[in-house]
Amino acid sequence: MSTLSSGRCRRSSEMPTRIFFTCDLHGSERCFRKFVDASNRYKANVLMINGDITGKAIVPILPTSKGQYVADFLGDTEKAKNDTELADLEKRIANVGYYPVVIPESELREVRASFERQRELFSKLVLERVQNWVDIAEKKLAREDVKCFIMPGNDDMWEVDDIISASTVIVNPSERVVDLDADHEMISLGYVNPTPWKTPRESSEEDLWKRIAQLASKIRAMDRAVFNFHTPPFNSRLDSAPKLDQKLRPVPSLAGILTAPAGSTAVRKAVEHYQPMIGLFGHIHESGGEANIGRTLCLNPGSEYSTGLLRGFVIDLERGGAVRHFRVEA
Amino acid sequence: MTQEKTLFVRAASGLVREMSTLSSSVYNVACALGGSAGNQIATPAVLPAFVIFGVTSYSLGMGIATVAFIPFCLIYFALVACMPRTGGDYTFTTRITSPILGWIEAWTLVFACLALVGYVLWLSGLAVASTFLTFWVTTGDQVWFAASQLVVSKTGLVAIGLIILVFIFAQNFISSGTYYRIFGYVGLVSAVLTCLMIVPLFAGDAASYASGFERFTGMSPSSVIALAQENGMMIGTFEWMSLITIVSMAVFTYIGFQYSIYLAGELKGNVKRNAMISVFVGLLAAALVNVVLVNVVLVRYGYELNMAWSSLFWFAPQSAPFGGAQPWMMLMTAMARPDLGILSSLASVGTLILLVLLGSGWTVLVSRIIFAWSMDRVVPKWFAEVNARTNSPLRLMVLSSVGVFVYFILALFGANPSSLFWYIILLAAPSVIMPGFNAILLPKRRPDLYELAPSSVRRTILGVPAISILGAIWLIFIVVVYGVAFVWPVMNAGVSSAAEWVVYSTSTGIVHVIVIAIVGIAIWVASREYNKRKGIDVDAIFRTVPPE
Repeated sequence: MSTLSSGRCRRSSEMPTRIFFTCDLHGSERCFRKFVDASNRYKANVLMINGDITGKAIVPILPTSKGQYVADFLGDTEKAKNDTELADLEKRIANVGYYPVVIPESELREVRASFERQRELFSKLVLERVQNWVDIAEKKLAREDVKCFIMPGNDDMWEVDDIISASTVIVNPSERVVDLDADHEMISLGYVNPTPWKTPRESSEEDLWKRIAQLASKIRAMDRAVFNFHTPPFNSRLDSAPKLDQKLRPVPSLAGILTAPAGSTAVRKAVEHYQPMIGLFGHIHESGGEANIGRTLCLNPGSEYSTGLLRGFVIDLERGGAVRHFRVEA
Repeated sequence: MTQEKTLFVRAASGLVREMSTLSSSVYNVACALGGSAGNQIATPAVLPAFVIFGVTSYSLGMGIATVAFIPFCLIYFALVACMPRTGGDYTFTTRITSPILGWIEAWTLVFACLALVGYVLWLSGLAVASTFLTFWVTTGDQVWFAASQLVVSKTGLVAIGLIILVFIFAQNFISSGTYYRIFGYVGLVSAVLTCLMIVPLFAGDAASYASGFERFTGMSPSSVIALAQENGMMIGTFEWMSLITIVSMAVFTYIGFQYSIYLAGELKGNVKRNAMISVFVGLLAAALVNVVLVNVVLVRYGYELNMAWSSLFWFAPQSAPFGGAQPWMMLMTAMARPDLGILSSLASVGTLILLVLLGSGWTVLVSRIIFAWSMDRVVPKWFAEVNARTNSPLRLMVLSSVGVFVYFILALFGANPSSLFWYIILLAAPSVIMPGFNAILLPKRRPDLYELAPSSVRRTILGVPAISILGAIWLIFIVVVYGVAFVWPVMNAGVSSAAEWVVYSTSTGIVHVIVIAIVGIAIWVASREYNKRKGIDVDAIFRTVPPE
């Protein structure tokens, strides 16, 4: 029986393992804090992020000659008159997943002109936030009976792995078999099939298949296995993304933006071939939902990180192999 | 400096969707005006009638409603700026105000939509008959006249309704993406065709119309007016209560102008600007038709005659021109200027297609609302299973089609059409009232989302969030409107005994609404109990996790 006492989640061996599963937080501080708190709110004893934890954009905050600060944020010009307002602005920027940086105009000009300087700045800000998140998780989860899995995804630079690996409470499950409980094993893969953006963790379909086959060969009981792959199966309704033209712009029509399946054929083949109990996916923010491929329940929470809304699934794994799940939007 | 401080991005996947402002605006216009350009001329006859300073009571009421809808628009774009996701009112209310209220709101809205589409099927049959009459006026070929008489019979209306229902159902056999593209393109072409009626409208006048009317209907305008008066038509003078009653009608007439909000997941980017423009374009288009066009047609072609025809159509169809045909704008322009009948005919076809698209689009909307319930475990997951080939929830579409058919049969054989009209408005009440509560409560109930909204959404007036003030303004307006439209008539119905109340409430649809609401509550309670027994914590589905 599950009890909730002093913020700690205790669970007897008869109780199902409860997973809170989410993905694609993309740097949203608000979403991450909700994620860490999900163990209490949903009584979950496994917390899981399925990739893409880092943000995509920097918001420069320029000091003005009057001792104030100004920034373009979400289409508005935001002003901060003092340090308190500056801290509030920085917090709001971080909550939507962007990186605020107070930077003089002259220096910003230099950064804009140099790809290398931009990369350095991104790297610094991204890694600082990941380290901060690890610190938050360690503080909140250290004394709880909770397993926390955070897998980097295709958008996450490789240095992120080192920070997660150094954590005492977070486990990076990438490319290995981990035990969710005594009955259920999980294999994970943050790589995705090639995207137009040439992100850090992309691989050919052939290579994806090889990696998955190698991991799957280590699973003891496939009918109770969990596949935790960042990219969803091809044409599974969990992978409908905007169709892009050659300039990477969405193709519009009078009836809206055209969409096309963007998942992996290797992942589809793997799910069809191995038929695990559950497939957990992310990557395609617009295509949250659930689908069945054979006997495998496939879930993609989708993502609306920039609004501060944390989308996820609560999944109960019963000892006998049964699964219950429901979608949440925290 | 302005350019320097803009954000810069790194190469990363997960492109944000960007439905253009043009696309979302076209969608709103289509949803708000599907078919109404043709048959809206009939609506004023079910409402208090008067003319003041050359403006008809209908257009005056619709004009006031247009202004009143401005805070409603602002509420929607603020809500969507905070929660830019597909699902519309069900999502907002369940996540901001109360899950059960969100459920009841969506539950009643679904029945309102089904009833509306059933009503549209009935109207479509009449529109086909009117289009055939327009062809007859244009060509002089008696085949079209005979065809119209065939269609306007009960058998004909059932046949046309079923054909359109089959068409609506057939959309399940193409993919969702293809369906939306067809909807968009056909909708645009139809709208352009509909606009062709402007030419004969302004080429004709009251004299040419009266002459054409007598020639083609075989009835003199004065006899039609006399017949309508015998059947209760009354053109009165200005009264505030009458005006508010008309304003209440706008709540129903304008519905759909904000539907890009239901596609908010595609409006990301500068969602505030995109949502604001598309919703206001939808509202403007609805106002142009209901305030301007209807007024022009009514006044230019003779207010009393048109009101008489509309009144006979509703209340004494056996005495109405052409054996019960509706006053169809394109038929009227064709009678006024038969030489320009080809333009009226093309416009009539365009409007007819728009009417069918309206029924089709709203059926899809119903299936998507139920889909959202299923995802939230309020109804069994069985409903939400999506057909692998078409990417649409096929079972839901079948159920929706059956629901539409039931209401269609009711419109034909059971309920008085004007009573059904009121009943639909009553069912839709929660969906226009709850946005007010959502707006008031948003800053307090969802600070995690409100704080991240654009600064214009977070504006305060004397320390009070502007969104909450807008919510209060809208609530005051809409509660007064519904009070006048529904509470006032009940209080003045002269009902004194329980038996009289049963008869009154049954004939006006009030019992229907109460039964539907009670069934909705029962389903909610049963669903919670069922999920609890299965070990699913339904409360957790709607629970917000505090971020700090």
